[in-house]
Amino acid sequence: MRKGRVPFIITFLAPPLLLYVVFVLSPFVQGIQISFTNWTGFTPNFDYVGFQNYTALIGDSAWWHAVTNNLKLLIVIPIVTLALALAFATLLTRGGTGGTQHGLAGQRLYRVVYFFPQVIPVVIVAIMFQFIYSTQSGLLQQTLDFIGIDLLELIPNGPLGNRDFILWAIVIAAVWSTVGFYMVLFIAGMQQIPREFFEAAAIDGAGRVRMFFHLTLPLLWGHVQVSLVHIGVGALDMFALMSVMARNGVSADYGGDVMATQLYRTAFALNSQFGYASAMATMLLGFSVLLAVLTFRITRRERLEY
Amino acid sequence: MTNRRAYPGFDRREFLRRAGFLATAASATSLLGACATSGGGDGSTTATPKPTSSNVDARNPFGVDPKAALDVVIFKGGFSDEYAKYHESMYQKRYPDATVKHLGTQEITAQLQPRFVNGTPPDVVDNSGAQDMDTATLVTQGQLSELSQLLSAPAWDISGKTVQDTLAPGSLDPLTFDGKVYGIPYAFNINGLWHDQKLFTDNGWEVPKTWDAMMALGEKTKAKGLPLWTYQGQYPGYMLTVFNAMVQKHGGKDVIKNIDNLEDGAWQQDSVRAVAEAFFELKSKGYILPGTASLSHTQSQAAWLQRKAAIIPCGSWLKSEMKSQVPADFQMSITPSPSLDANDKFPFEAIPNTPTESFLVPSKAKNVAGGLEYLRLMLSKEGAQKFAELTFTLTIVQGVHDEQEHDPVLKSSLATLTAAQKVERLDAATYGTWYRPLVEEAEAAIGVLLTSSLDAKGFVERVQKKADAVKKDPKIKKFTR
Amino acid sequence: MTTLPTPTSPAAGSAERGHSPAPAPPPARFTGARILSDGIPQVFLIAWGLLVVLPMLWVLISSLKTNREIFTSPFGLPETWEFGTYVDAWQTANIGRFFFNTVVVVVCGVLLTLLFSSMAAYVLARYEFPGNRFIYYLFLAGMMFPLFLAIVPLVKVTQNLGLYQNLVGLIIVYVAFSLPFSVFFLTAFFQSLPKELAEAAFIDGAGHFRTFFQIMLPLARPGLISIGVFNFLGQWNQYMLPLVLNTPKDDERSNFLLTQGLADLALRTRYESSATSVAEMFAGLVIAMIPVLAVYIVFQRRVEEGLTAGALK
Repeated sequence: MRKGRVPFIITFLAPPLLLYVVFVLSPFVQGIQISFTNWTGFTPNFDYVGFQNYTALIGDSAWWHAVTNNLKLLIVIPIVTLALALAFATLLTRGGTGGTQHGLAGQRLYRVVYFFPQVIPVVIVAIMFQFIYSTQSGLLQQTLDFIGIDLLELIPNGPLGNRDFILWAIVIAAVWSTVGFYMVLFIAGMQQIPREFFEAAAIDGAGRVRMFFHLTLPLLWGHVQVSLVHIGVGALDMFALMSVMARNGVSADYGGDVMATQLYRTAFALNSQFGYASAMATMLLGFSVLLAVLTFRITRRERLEY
Repeated sequence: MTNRRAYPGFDRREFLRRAGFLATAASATSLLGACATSGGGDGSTTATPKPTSSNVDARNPFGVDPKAALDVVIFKGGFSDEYAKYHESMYQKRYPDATVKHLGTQEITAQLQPRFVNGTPPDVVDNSGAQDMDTATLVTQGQLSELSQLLSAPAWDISGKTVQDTLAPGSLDPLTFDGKVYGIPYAFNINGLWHDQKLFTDNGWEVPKTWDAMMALGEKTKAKGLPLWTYQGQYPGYMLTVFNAMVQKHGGKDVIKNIDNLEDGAWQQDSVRAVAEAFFELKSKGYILPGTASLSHTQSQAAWLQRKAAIIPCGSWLKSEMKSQVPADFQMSITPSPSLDANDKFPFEAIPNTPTESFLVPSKAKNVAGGLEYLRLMLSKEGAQKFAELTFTLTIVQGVHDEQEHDPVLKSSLATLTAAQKVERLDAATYGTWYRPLVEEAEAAIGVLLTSSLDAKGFVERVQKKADAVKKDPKIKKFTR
Repeated sequence: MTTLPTPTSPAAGSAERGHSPAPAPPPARFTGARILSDGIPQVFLIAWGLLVVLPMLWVLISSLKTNREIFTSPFGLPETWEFGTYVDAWQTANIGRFFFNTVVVVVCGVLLTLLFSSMAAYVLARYEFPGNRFIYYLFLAGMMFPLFLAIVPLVKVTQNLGLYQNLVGLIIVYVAFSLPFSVFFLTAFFQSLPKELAEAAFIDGAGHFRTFFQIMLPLARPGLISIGVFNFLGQWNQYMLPLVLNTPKDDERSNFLLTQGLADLALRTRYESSATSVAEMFAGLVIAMIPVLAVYIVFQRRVEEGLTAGALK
């Protein structure tokens, strides 16, 4: 039985694999190769320098400052984004009403409005937030003035000029622009949960909170897992926002410097140390893989079937 | 943001453009085994253009083929490219049969690197902006025409003079390599401090020529509820430029030369400390517009134009960059940075010479003669005046802008320049282009010095530490001057 | 949209959910407790709604102001409504052309991604052979690669293959970079489909190809819609790849995509290209957003259903 199995496998696997190897894998392998050279990117000459770039990197305090910032992002962004997206999704579907309604009043409008930021290119989100955070009557400053708070007293030098705050100022922009997408994803997942589950839970006297933790969340776990990986990989990048809002990580005494901005500057601005920057990128790749493995390990649990 | 060398403001796009360029470079230089070297020749010859037709005369000194097309690529940044379109129309008028191809772009490298690699560069390139090409590399690879023929040719519309005669002395230095000129830095950029003369006149304030006077002014503006100073917060490099000038004026050329050459303890020289102390005063006395550190360059410049601070540092392009936001009664005026004290080695009037907008004629261009001719007409009275009119910036052509004093900004620039030409010129600090890691740290540190937790001692130590690290770093190529 | 989810038995297939006419839901009782318990979440929802809407409204109003007004009174109304900014944005940003290019690239990109990723995923999910797991993890690894590392060599690869600066090249690269997540997603999906159907098809004498195209692919529709939406959004907003691989071919930038055009407008605000350059950028943004929002609103239900798919189980 099943003759022609081998030709079939080859026909189906070869084209995607070829594309993937040529356009994704091979450039990455070359990138890793560059990390073992001293190539500047501006001359034809380069030598292989062994692990020199890597040993230099390990002793580079600026690099570890960037890594630390990424770690902060990695902890905060997924938690905040997920919490908000899950809360919104719950409130706008059956679970949010204790199982009695389709969702809270106005849910249709909310679903549309919350999705808005998703369609704005990140570069423009960044420019917009530059105006919002402006210390020359930006939206934030004016709002705070209205309730009698001085922005510059609250955050000396302003959100994008303060070493300790700039990272969080940018996190807010990141969360703002992505929550809507994950909300839509979770809503979709929640709508799949049979209505009787909620009704049964309601009859059992489960409140909304209990319903969420004991019914919605477990049934949504697959979505949450994939979202975590997605958000996590995003938090390891953050280049677009940092490049505009933190001038590639340099603003506010490197307060917003992350791995991506630092390796960019190393490759192109700081005397074109392209080999060194590639070593940074390779280490970033290592972190990403580690992150993915950990995420799947930690979040692995029995999947509930329904 | 025209002068990218002085104020590198990198963004994502720049990275990407450069990435594209790097890849082009990589494929052209057989990186990692790919054999793709293109274009004939060993690239080491410096082309001297030959007259392409026999009708060489004073009107057509390079023997331009009147029918040959001309291909012009202009950096479309703070000066836009309207001035270039005017120059092209001048060319068209002289050579009605020629077609002129124009491209205005911000991505010079991404646009042109592949064309250089393939041996089909344009005839004229304005190599400027954040994504400009490394001129030194182009020169060493024989990609640029040497311009002695242009310089010795008769000027376009200034009779009895050669092109060279019409140019401000020393203006070609930045594009001179081993005594040969490979490009024309067209715009005569001046870096200095800007103020609104109306505001000053109304209040009876004088432009401060010394740091003491600056501090005294700070008290006066403060009494009026106006902070003395703002700067392009997220780009503290603007302040570093002022810093460099003040250090050199105080301590002499050697002080900045030591910094450029990474001499031990260069940042701990007395003049460096003294200017750092002065800058610290701006912060400790509360003379800086609160929240400055958070502002982008346009936001801070807009605040200054709204008279929310008295002084802002910037280059000549300021008006061109902000023109629609200048209030009608605002009198933008530029002056040199103040002397630190009476012991300064240079007088107040001295300014560094930092021309921008590098115009090049690639040696492998199809119409080199046409390219030279285009440069010659740019350097005409008509061409230079049009540039100044459209961009509020002087050119390196001397004497032609005197009659354009009706524009207050040009008038002010011209006054500063005229005064500066009577005294010795400051050297341009070169560590900014040689050692980007050092300048990045110095910029960050000066931002902290001006708005946050560093004092003068801390600033000096921090930058010196970075200078030592750069000196020790084998990955960074060293230069001396 | 009066239909509400129908009570169905837990065993019922997901495809039917939410479509058949429903009996009226239990009426909400507006007791005091109800108002309180709905009121608090409502405050929360309205607050976030404002956080989203206000900046968008600001963009809309700013798109009609001069640079001067934007900087001097960022939150005031414009003195004169500068509708000309929309004309300028349309013309200088060549948005019509970029829009067309983007549609071509994204539609082709998504369709090809669907085809190739479902092919690979199907084989990886349903056929045992040596190296199966290896190839699967090889694809998976692609999700973790920082694009930075690859970008310079990638330009070289596309140049060597004549795929630089053209839309075909972009489509191919989009597909290649979309494969890891799509394969990962669809493999799980194919694994969750009942085996019996394929077995039956084989017994009926259908070959591997026919089984795939006639039985498995239709069954996988919800999964394909999900991954299609994911890829549509991802490729529509893709910025880095076109910026590197699709540099302008000519003065009209006839090969540009929408995100590149917008980024160009954004860059122009760094210089003052006109007295309304900031407004032009926002106008360009509004023009570019409207179609996407319209599509989202119209297909909202379908998007959500598509995302559902049940594939993530």
